[in-house]
Amino acid sequence: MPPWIVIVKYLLLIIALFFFTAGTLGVLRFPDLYSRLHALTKCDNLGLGFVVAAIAIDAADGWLAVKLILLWFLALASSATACYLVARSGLRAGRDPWEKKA
Amino acid sequence: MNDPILIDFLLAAGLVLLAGFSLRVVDLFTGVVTFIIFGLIMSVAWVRLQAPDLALAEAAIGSGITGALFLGAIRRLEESTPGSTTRPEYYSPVQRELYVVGVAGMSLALYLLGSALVPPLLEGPAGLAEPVSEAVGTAGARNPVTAIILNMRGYDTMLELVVLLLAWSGVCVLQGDLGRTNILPATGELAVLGAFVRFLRHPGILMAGYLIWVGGDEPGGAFQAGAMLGGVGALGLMAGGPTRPLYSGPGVRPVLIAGVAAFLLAGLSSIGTGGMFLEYRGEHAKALLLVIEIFSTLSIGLVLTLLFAACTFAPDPGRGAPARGGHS
Repeated sequence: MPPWIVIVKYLLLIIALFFFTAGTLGVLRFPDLYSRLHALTKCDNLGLGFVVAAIAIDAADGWLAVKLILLWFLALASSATACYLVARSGLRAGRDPWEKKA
Repeated sequence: MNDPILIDFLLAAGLVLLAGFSLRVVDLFTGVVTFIIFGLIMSVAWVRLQAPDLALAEAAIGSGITGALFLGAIRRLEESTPGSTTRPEYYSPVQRELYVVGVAGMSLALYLLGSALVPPLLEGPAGLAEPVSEAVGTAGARNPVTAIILNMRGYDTMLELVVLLLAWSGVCVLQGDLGRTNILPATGELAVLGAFVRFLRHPGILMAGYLIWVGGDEPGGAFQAGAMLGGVGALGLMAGGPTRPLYSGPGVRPVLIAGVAAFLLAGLSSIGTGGMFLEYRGEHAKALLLVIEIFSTLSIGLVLTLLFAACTFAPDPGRGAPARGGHS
């Protein structure tokens, strides 16, 4: 494997780690359901996306890379749907969005 | 695997912690969510133990379908007896912290002990691995797990399908025959979920077929494929999909028993060709196992979907168990 691939792979993984860390911090620290969901989707979408990109560039063959990217699309679709459903049921249960106290 | 690493330690400690939390929470919803996370971590642990078959089954059945059933059950429980799904906290914060520290300490001790003990243990007798790998050649499946589940221990697997049937009969006895009542469709506002289900149902069904086929050689098989079908069915129900033709149609009962029937017929046919009940050898073994797997998958998928429906949707009020009447 040429060295530049290894460097790119680790760069992608570091970017992924950044998004996972930021998303996790957001889930733990943000004040209400909706902003926590917003943070959580960063893990699913960008974090997982960069992990998939990192594994795909050094995949044994092209098909494996295609499968990995399909997996990411699947996760994108389900995370978007799940996020919408959670937010919707939160709104219906009467959870008000957080507002900054004056 | 001779060389335990930090991630195994984290997995093991996390599993014990999650198991404890899922039992000790103050409300059942949190408990179930913790249980689902436990299942997902458990499937990663199975992957680390090089048991991808179990990992698939754990993620699909243990975590996915069971989690959905539990969540539906909680909703029904809360609707019928409000307040019954929470209880007062009876552990003090100090006790909870002691628990976390205790588990972490014990896991670390076991980890250190294990790294010393595991390599010698691995060199011991190999158990049944050798006779199994010898018999796999004639068992109709190159994946030893599938060969064991469907051929060498076919009796157990058939009885597992019977257990699923019994579970469904129990549900029918308790709350009437859902197969013949109109399962309430979700309100028509779930456009996003509907689009998601339309996007996912065909790949889901295709994936189930792939899991059956690939189960002969690689991780996969009827239970994973059936769980996949059950998941597609449950999603369709949540999105208010066309329930009536699927759940009150004349084909429901034949499909429910198809798995057990295929097992019995294939088992009897092996007696006819001079073998024992449920013993498949030689050139027809692969075809027989495939037929059993296809019908078992359909049965498992349908039972899981129906169980989900029974947990999630209230039965038609006029059709409870006492009013069930005399249909067979």
